[in-house]
Amino acid sequence: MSSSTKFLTLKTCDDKKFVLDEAIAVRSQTIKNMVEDDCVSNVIPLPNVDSKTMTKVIEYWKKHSEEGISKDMLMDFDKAFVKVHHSILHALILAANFLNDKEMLDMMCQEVVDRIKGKTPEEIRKEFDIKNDFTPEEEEEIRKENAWAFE
Amino acid sequence: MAVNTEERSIPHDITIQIFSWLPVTSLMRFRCVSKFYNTIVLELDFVDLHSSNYSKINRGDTKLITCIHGVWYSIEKHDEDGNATKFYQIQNFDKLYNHINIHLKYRLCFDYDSGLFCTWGVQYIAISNPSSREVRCLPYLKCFDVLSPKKKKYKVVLIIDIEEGLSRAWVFTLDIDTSWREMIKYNQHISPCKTAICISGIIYRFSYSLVCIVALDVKSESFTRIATSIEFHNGLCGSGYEDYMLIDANGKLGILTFPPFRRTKYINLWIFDEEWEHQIFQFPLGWKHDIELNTKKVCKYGSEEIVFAINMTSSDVLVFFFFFLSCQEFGVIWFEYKL
Repeated sequence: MSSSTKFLTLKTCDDKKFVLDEAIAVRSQTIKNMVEDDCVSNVIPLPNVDSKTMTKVIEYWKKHSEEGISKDMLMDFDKAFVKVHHSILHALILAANFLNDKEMLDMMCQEVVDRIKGKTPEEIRKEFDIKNDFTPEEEEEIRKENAWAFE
Repeated sequence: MAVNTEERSIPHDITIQIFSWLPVTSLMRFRCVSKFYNTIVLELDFVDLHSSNYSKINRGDTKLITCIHGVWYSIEKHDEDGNATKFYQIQNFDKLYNHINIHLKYRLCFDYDSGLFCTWGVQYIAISNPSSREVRCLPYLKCFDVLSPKKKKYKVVLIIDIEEGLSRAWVFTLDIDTSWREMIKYNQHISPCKTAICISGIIYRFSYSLVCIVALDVKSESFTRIATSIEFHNGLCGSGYEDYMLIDANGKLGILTFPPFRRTKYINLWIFDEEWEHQIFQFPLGWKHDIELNTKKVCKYGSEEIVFAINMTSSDVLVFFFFFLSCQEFGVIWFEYKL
């Protein structure tokens, strides 16, 4: 492994290239597996990630790989990092899932949890693109049963 | 949310993970989202996932509740220098009490887990959600003496001491069972005077002889035994401790013991992680008041801190000490109540 290149080139779905230190890129379990299996040629294609999202991901990886960074500083960084528009958060979750970076995925999911926990079922359907397959009567029934949770 | 046509929806497994981190109130509300979510919320595997994930995520989210002259208060911890704390009255507890024979008050106990309270008297068991007004009484069980029902997620386990520490256990699954069903193969000898602790879906109780701890896996309803540490046992036999209890020490099983002196200077803690690890911690140095600690003064235990509540009767002040397990340090909160 040490004989392989120190830098990796990642290519996003919109054909942008990112040159990244291998030590940082292997925060992604997906990339790590590729590197370990030696199936890395020059460019690693990331068909599920666009460049805008990848820029954010790399920003996160670099910050979390900085030497001597304090826990408090990282916490402040993370807090600011997740304060993004819904669509970006959504894209970051998909990217973290594809790249298989558990730490990052967990952090993004936690942010979603914080955002949705006070919402109504209608808002949840919208958020996760879920189709309501209840009849109005069925929905009313469940609503009644769990009325306490709606207060 | 403007749905971009290129935007793909979040995969099911991630949605489920996100759901497993939600508080129970939100989960119950989201049962209306679709048939899938209505069923999954009650699915045993999901309940299991939720019980381990939710508690992991919500470590340190300590809620303090106190009863002063029959009125219940919830205390918000957001402290400025540990002195000023907000508190507000919990109205719905009065309603809860109306469901339960008030003259049995001296036997009334309650426990708190996963955002729900479980309270019980000799004849009744009720569950309440403090953030709403819902109170649910569980069906009456013809029984002898309720010693320790321990609520875990959607299952309520009732363990009853029959004689000489021989116990029987019943289980009630919320939203599924309509009556209590007895757990078979349960013939454990349990120490009747010590309450249980529930960690990650496993209920631990001291055995009658105190040489071991009986662990009940709530999901599979099976039992195992864990031998207590020799040091702990020797301490008991040599009357080295006045009081002892089980605690949730940052997700691990722990035993807390208090020395039999009027002024508590140190506390023993054993944490089980394949083996028992012994720690001794001292009360905050510089604390000038005399403190006599025992298990009754540990009001909330679990997650990353152990909380001791001490009532300074002379001054209408309730003092909460937090012992943070990770950094082995104490924190203090003062709660002044004006009546």
